Amino acid sequence: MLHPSHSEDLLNAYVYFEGQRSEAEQRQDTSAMIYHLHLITIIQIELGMLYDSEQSAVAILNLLDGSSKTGTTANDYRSVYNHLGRLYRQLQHPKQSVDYYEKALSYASTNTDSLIILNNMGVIYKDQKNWGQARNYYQLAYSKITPPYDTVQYARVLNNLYYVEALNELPSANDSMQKAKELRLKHNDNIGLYSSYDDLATLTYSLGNQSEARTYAFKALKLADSINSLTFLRDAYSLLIKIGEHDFIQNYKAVSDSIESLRLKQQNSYASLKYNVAKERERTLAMQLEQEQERAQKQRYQAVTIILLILGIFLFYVLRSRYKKAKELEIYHTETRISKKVHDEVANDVYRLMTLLQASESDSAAILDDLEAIYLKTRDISRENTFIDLSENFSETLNDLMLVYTDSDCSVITKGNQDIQWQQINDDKKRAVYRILQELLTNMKKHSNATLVVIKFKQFGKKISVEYRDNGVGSRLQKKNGLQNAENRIFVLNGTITFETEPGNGFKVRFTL
Amino acid sequence: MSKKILIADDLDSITAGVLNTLKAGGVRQVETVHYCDDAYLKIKAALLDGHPFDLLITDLSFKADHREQHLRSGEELSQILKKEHPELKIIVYSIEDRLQKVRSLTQKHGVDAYVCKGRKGLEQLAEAVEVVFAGSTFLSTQVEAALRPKTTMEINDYDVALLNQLAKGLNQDEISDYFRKNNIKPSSLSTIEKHLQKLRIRFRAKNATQLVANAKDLGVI
Repeated sequence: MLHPSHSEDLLNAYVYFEGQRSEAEQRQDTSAMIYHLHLITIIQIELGMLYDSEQSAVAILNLLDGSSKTGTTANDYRSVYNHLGRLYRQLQHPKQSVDYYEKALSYASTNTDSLIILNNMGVIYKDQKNWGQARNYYQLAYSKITPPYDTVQYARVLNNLYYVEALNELPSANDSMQKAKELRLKHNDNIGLYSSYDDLATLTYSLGNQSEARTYAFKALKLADSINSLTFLRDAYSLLIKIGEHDFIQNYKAVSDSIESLRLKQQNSYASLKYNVAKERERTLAMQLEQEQERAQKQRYQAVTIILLILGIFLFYVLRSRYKKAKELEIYHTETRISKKVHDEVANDVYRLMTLLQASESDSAAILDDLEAIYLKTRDISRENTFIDLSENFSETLNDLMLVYTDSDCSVITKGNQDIQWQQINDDKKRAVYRILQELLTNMKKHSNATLVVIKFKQFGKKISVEYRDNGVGSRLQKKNGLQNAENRIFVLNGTITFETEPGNGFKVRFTL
Repeated sequence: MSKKILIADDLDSITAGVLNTLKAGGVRQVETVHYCDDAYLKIKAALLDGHPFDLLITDLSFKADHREQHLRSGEELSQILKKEHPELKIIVYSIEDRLQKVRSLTQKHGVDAYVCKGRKGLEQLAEAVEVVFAGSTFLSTQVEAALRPKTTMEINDYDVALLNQLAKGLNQDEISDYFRKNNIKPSSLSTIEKHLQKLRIRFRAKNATQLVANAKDLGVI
């Protein structure tokens, strides 16, 4: 940035540092802001945007005044004031320029800093041809120089001081200027060297040595050419014209024009860039606002999701505990039912048989008959509660159940059983269908005297609907054991069941699960 | 009878009953075991000795106890033996009377006879032994239905359509015509006659009128 090789570089640098400054501002990082503003003021002065540069410098001063850290800011103050001095020199306000340099000087902490500022002040007086003051400052600057007497700064002060001295016809001055020139050559300090040639040409010309002045002026031109800077080239032509080489007026004008047009172009680009940067900043702000809103909305959604999740978990546990309770109830009912059956149907019969045997004299065939009846009852109880093999074809399992109840007295007719896709129905439901039908058919056999039973099956996706109907005697609706069990099973599986019966009008049950 | 028989049952009282029956039938060579694994080993050993068993009578359900068993049921035992030694006759003698079980044992595994334990169980077992040695199969009367072809009381939509037309007062010829017109198959008179006959049996109806009445009472139509 400080040594741009291309006219676009400065502008690119400006955009970059402006972005950095803007970011620093958002982080409220004052020292980074100051750092980037420094660089921006320099770019602006290079671009010739002197008033913008001044604004930036003032912004730095405001930041520095507002900053609480005093120790570290001295350097920044010196740098800003020095910059403002430079600025006002270019704005042709020598008095203000000197004032700022004085302020900068008061913050200078090293000899090098001081001598740079003092030298800058000397230059102002030199501009005004106030040789006396110029000489005073150069001498002050010279006095600050510390060994080794070998640096670029030394060469600069040396050249400037003895230029003034030479003008005052100090004989040794020329030698010192030559020495400065040699030092600059040695350090490859082309810009310093150019100034040496310029001063030497001006000096020798003013001393009346036309040919020597011409040599230096041409050397300056050649150097300007090799520096590849239009400004130096223009200065070199100006120097040549000053020492009477009027042939170069055309060249001077051409270079001046191209400098001017380049500057105009850069300034235009800068103006549009500045506008774009401002626009960009607005856009960034708008985007930040939007992001803020989005974040708020996201948080709202998250809150809602979490609440739903908690509700869901709560519901899950409630339902699970309800299911568990229903399951426990079913088990309890089943156990009491089996126990009652064993008591009513088996124990009583065995007791009866025992009393019969005590009375004795009964024939063994009759006892055997009784025993068989008891055996069959226990077998039936076992069968009613035995495990249902769901690995086999369920349609056949059901069909076999119907066949057990189909005999010379009664036909059990089914419709739709073979059309049901039983593999799509879950095992709990299949078990329930089997048990409920088994209970209904057992009841039918015991109490109804039915001769015909029709059982219709229908499937609705994963649900199954069954309608049972017989032509038996029917009954007043009393939910005895079996029916109560059926209801429990349906309730556990969240199904529905309805009973319809009247004496003399058969029995009808419909359930869905 | 010079046959060699093995009885596998975990209840001694039952084994004793079977032994008596067999001895009454003149069988001399009978051995007994309590576990399926033992039965398997005995049969294998006898084969190696050159005096193989001719018949196995086995229960289906064996109570699990402290002894770890590879074969845990008479079903597993029958399955593996029939696979490895199809010439060995097997009679299952069990309290189990579910038709599906009987069907899978006799048809899938090739068991020769299935006898239900019960009042007439031992008599049927004696009969079964004779039938099996004669090279035939035997099923107790309680489970005979297992192997009856198509013992199903299922009716379908076709039957319902038939009943509906009958309920409208159509005779068999008219139903046949109606089916043909409405593209309901089969529509031939003989098929319709056969189906109506079957329906009458299922609905315990003496004639068409009673068939319609019964079907209506039970909500089929």
